[in-house]
Amino acid sequence: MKTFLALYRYVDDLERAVEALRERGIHSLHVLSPVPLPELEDRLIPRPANVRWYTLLGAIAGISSALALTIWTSVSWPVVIGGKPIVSIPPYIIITFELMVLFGSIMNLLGLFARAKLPRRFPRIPYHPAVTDDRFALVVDIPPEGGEEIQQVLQSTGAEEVHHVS
Amino acid sequence: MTYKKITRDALRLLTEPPGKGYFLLQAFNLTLVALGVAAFVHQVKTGMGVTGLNNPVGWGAYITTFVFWVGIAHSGTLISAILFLFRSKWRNAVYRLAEAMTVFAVLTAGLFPLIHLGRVWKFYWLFPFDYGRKVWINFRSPLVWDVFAVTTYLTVSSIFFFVGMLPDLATARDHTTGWRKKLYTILSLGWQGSHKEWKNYRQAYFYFAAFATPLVISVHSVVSWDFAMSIVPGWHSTIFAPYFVAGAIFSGVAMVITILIPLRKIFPFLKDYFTINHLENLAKMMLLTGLIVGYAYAVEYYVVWYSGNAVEWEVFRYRAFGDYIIPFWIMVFCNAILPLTLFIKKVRRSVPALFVISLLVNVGMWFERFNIIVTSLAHEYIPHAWGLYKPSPVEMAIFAGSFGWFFFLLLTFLKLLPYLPVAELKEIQPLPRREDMKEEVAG
Repeated sequence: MKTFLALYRYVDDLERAVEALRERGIHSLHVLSPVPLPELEDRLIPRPANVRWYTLLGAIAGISSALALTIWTSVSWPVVIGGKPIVSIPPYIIITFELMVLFGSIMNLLGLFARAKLPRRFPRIPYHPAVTDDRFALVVDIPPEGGEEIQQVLQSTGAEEVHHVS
Repeated sequence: MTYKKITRDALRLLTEPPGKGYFLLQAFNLTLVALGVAAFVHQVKTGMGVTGLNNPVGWGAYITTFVFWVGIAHSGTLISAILFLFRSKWRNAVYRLAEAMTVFAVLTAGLFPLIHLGRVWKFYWLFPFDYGRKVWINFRSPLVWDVFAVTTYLTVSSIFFFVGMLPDLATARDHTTGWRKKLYTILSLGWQGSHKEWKNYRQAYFYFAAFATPLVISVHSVVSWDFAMSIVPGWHSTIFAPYFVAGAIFSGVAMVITILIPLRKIFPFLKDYFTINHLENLAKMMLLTGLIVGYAYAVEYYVVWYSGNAVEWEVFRYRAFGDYIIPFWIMVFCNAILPLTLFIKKVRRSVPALFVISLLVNVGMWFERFNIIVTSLAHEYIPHAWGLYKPSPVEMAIFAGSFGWFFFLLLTFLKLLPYLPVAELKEIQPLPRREDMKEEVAG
């Protein structure tokens, strides 16, 4: 496997390079950018992200655990307070809402970590520090033979630098 | 504004060594904290008698200050989450600072219920923790709702704060050296800015905002129910939740302005980011919420008058013309009358005027909570049980300490973490395109 990292200054150059490579049947592409590029991201990954299922799971866990906690503790030692029913649903809704938000947010964070493979000690894909400044990087994985053509595509689309990473 | 300039300016305060003034300010803050801690130790050793709290006024400056700081904490999430959902672009520059303020204000607020506890070492009784006798906490009590609301708010706003900062921590990691680089390498969790990361990140961020928006409204509603759920005259009112939420955003926005203005003055390069338009937009939010607060004051009086309830009416007469006449009129002037000047565009765009107004709004908002809490308790149903309350020096010292603590955290943040949201500032710039460059050259 050969890997190239090309640095671009302009987004439209990068987009053209992505298109050109995809036309040549190369789909192992990674774009690194200082800002989110929603259109390009959606083209590279057409399906919606999956963090939302974690979030939903967390929210449901929050709702059910809050209802379980409030109802079970009330029933386990029934004390009538203020003439209210032992299981008083309206005040428990507040606890339920708070725990839904709490568990939902925590799972949302864990979902982000799981889907984006964070935290990580070593970079997953070749990296260049300029991508947190003002450059856009395109990382291309190709079979070991035929690197020249790819290099040429990258250069002809306006890459400022092309690194042969491995 | 180029991407490079944003990166450079966002790292400037982090990498430049702090000046003498910074250390002096921090020393001052820590002195205030030490004063507060000493006062608290004295209170724990001696007992609650060192405060001005008494029977009937069992809630005083501590609870007032608690509500005050929770209120301050509200604008951060408003700016970062609600304005995000409204796709309001001007939020991007100021949201990091507002969010940091939120986290630190909740951290400050959370101390006060504990300080207010007579036996602080029993604080864990607030949590659903079976301590042997199988007697659980009372989930019908608003105080327990408050524990859940405030701890959830602290957790969620901290997560939101951290996640928002993630790409910027990576920027700091890539463009600093030494121990800072090590610190940011750990904090940035290996963020690379790949399209897969960004795609998941955008979705996660959206859900954080979607959770934080109702949460922020619920938190101050729950705080208001600490009062409104009881039958104390002057507290038992259904308008409390919206009234408190508006007040919280009002004071929080005022605090953001109070912090932004000196920052702009000390670090002139920040004027490119925190422009006069940002201040004006914040001032507009202050005007809107100030109008809601002023309206709530009037409605409160109207409802009480219309109800014909003699006890309620007496409490409201007492608030305006009784022993606490000065705090009451400070509150009315600062919160309901003074913000009306913001209708004038010149005032909204005048930095000194905004600074004075925002400071006075926060003074007014502290007194608002003081009025609500103290006057109602001091003047309940039975005339023979009426009383008076005045904060003692111990309470004042702890109050001052809370400011030291808050500003200590804030100043530490400014030198340690990305105070400008780098990625989001770049996002609102036009994307660099070769085509646009050609047009510029040709034109």
